[in-house]
Amino acid sequence: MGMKAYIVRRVLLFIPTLLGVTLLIFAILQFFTPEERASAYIRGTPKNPDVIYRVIEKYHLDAPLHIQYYFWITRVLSGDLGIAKSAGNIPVSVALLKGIPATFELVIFSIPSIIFLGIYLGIKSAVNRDKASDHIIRIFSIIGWSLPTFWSALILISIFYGGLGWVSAGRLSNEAYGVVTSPNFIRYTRINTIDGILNGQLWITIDALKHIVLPVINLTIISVALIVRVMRSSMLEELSKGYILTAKAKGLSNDVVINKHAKRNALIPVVTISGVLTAGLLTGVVITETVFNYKGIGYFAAHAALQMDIPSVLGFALFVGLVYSVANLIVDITYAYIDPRIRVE
Amino acid sequence: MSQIVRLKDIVVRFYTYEGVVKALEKVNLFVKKGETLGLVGETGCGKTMTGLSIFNLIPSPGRIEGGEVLFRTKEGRIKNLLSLDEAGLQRIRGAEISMIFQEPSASLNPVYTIGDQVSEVFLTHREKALLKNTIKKIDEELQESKGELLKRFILRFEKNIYERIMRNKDPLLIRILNKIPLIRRYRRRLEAEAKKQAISLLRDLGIPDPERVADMYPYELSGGMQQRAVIAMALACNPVLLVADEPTTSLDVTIQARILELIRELKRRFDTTVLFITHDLGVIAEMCDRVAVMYAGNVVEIADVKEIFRNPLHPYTKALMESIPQPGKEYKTIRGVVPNLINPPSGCRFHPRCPQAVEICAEKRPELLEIRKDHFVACHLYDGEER
Amino acid sequence: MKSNSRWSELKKSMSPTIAELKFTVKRIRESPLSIMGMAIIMFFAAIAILAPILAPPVNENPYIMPHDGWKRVPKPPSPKHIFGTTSGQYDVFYGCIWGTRTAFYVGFEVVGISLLIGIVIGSLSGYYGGIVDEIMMRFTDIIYAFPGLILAMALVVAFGRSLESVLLALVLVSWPTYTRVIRGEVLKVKQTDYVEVAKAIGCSDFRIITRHILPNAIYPVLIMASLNIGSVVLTAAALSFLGLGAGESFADWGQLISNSRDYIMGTAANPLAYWHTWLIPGLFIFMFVLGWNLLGDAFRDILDPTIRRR
Repeated sequence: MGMKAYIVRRVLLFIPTLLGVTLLIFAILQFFTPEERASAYIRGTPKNPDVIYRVIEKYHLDAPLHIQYYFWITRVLSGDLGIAKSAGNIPVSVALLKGIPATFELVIFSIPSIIFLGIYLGIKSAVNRDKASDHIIRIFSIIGWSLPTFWSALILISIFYGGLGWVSAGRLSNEAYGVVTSPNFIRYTRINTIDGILNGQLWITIDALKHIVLPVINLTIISVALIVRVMRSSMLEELSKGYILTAKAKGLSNDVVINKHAKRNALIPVVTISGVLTAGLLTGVVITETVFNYKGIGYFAAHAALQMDIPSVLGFALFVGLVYSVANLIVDITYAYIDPRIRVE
Repeated sequence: MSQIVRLKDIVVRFYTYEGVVKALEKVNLFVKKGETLGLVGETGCGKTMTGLSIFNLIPSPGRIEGGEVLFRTKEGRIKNLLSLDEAGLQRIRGAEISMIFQEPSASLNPVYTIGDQVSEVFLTHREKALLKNTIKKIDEELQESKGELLKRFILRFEKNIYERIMRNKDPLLIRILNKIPLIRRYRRRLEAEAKKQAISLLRDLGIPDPERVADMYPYELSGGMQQRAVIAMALACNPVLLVADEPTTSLDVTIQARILELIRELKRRFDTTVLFITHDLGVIAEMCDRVAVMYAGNVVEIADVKEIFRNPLHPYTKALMESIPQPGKEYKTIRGVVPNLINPPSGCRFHPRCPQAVEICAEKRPELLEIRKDHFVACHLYDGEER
Repeated sequence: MKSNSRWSELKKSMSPTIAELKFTVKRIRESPLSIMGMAIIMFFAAIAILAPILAPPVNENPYIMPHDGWKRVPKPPSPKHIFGTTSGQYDVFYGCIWGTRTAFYVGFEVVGISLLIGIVIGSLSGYYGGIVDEIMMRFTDIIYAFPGLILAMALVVAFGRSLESVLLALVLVSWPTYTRVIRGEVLKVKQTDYVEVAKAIGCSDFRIITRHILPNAIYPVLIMASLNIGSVVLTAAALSFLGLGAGESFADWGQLISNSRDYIMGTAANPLAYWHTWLIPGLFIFMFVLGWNLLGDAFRDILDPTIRRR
């Protein structure tokens, strides 16, 4: 009933957001001269300046802004984001597509551990308020919150890869990489853990898992604090509410009161904050992938930034903006699903 | 008449940053079977805390630091609720004693439907009866479904689980099963059964269209309807004692009268004893058989409702009676202010405001004594120490 | 005088705020975590103040790190360079000491400027409402549609690599937060009686905003902002690490690590050969941010009215 109308309204609101995201990237592009922008569409460095002028004319790079935006957005929609010079002169969209499965794999493994650990610790902390376990959880979450992503990654990598010689950095060991890139290994999804199973080569999956554990731990350490903090404070708030007393007076066990009554309500702010969590993950991915030499889109973006590769960085930013907006859309809909009161508003 | 519950020297303290709040100081009280005892006093005098102490549910940072709550269970055994373990308390809460709170919208969980919240009481306290009914139903379905192999298999499986729960066999296995989403669906039958009972209870309480209301969320209901749902939860298991904490204060005047009428009717029908907490002397006169007057964490006077209105003994009760606005009479207020319970006055806590205070009032705490038959007062004017 | 009674009215309406403030200060002093945070920040403040004594500058601009030769391979700690050197032979100790100043500078500047923008736009937006408000809020929405670091990355690439670019990019991504909070507070305060009274006696809009609304709305935002210094420094360090910092020779913690990024993994024989190039500057960043976050966490708990009093 109200749910459908709410979703439709929320999806309609998504359109201006999309427009805004593209407009902002377009605005940043205007910092560059038409010549600089034109070279983004040319492989390598052109020897003849005429090439650049031809591109400017063809792509309307010196036209009035609204016309420029029109041509730019049509090109973006058709998947043309320019050439990524930092990634061997392949189109930016191709570079992104190549990196997405790896990053997706990393994020998909991180999210459950962040959310479940965060909720569990948050509840534990709130229920044992001002006791030792509460203090320990809080101190650890503040430490996680304060760790520079690259520093914690460097510490992990030196201890486990350098010190203990566990595995080497990257997504796969050399041996596994050789197999994966060989012609008789079919890369269905480009997600190594899944492709390993699909090709019936379980050792590839295990090898991929070994390589993904530390990056996942790193992302978890830096992001879990957010969930713990929100869960703790919302849990404390819910536990002080009237319906908790009613539930206890009904004769419900503490377990039911906490895990059924308080938790469901306390999760509402956590759902809201999971948009911010997505942002944290998207940023964390850039640095974690760079340090672990894990070739996803974050790695691609960091290398592009180091070489001031304009179309790659902006293409990445545009992509992340879209992903983040979609994530926020999903968050809002989930929110309405959990909290019946939102739908009527 | 026998006593259902007896509070003996209950002491409740709250440990706050500002200091220790001495919320209840040796509260003595008893409720007789079948009566309605009114508990009256100003805001913050400890009425609600007295009610909650019966449940051993003082919210933190509060603690019960002394006393006993002696409760006569349905089986006729007398238990001290303050020395009972948590599991024992949970068996009594909601089943033998239950509570209605002041703010119905706050006492309902906003994210569960009314039906969920009412049937939860049945699922908690009436599991055996629900199981019996469900097993009977499964048997019927088994009879009907001859030949449908898969369905019969599922039904058998469910019946097996229900019987195990019934006999309390393999509690660990059941607990694990309850954690697995798809298998947990077997509970739906149990939940459906509980919901059926919840709907019939809602109908009993005069809620129109109970099937629809059961699927509604609290915010979709009016205050009066919400309070009916709360009352339904409280009365679901036919409790011996109902503690009603200002159940009508937050409602509109017209609805107040209806809720009061409902409580009175239900009390008759369910044969429940009621402890009625209010600050409204009008409601007391209308609802109660006996009255206990509280002041700053102490019970100062207990008597029959007629006796207390006709012949109040404690100076505070007298002042309270005089502060009722009446046509043609001068309206009096009680001088002074409600004391701060972090540093309460010594001796009788009322003495700084008492027009009849004497020296001893500031020094010694008066005991609650039976001055006349069934008339208890805690005041040095009557305990014979002075005169 | 009539206005006198209004003043006492105003004072009365402010008195809970003052009581609140006293209570907050008391709680801060009682919380061990916030004391720890305070101590850490004080320690860094001392380093920043004593920087010229601890690490006497060699160049005219003290923020330019001196370097002992041009060799690419970092050198481990020695009596001459107690924290060792980075790739390019920049002294890590010098960089860490003067980097403390950079951290305070970046933190204060970014937070201060974004706060100023937030106060001006937020209060105008909240007070006047209407179309201005609508446009401003859509504008903040757009910036909110990007994770901060990634937008900052794109902006620094657009502006060109320099400390100024980093500062500007960080300001651009952080002002919407303050604008939103200020606007929310202004909307709340706007409806109070004393603002109505001020309007009724004919105070100018400017006077109402600066004298009546802001003093009441600004308090939580100021605290929030000052505690954001930690996360600003963290983002700036990440940018430096990604090579979008102030430049190789600039005394900045993130920059120090970035300088030796090719050597971080050590040598094949000894993977930990160059630990000092990242562990020491990283520790400075971590402790600095930790100090602010400890303080921030204590404040958040104390200011959160729902979980405040136990």
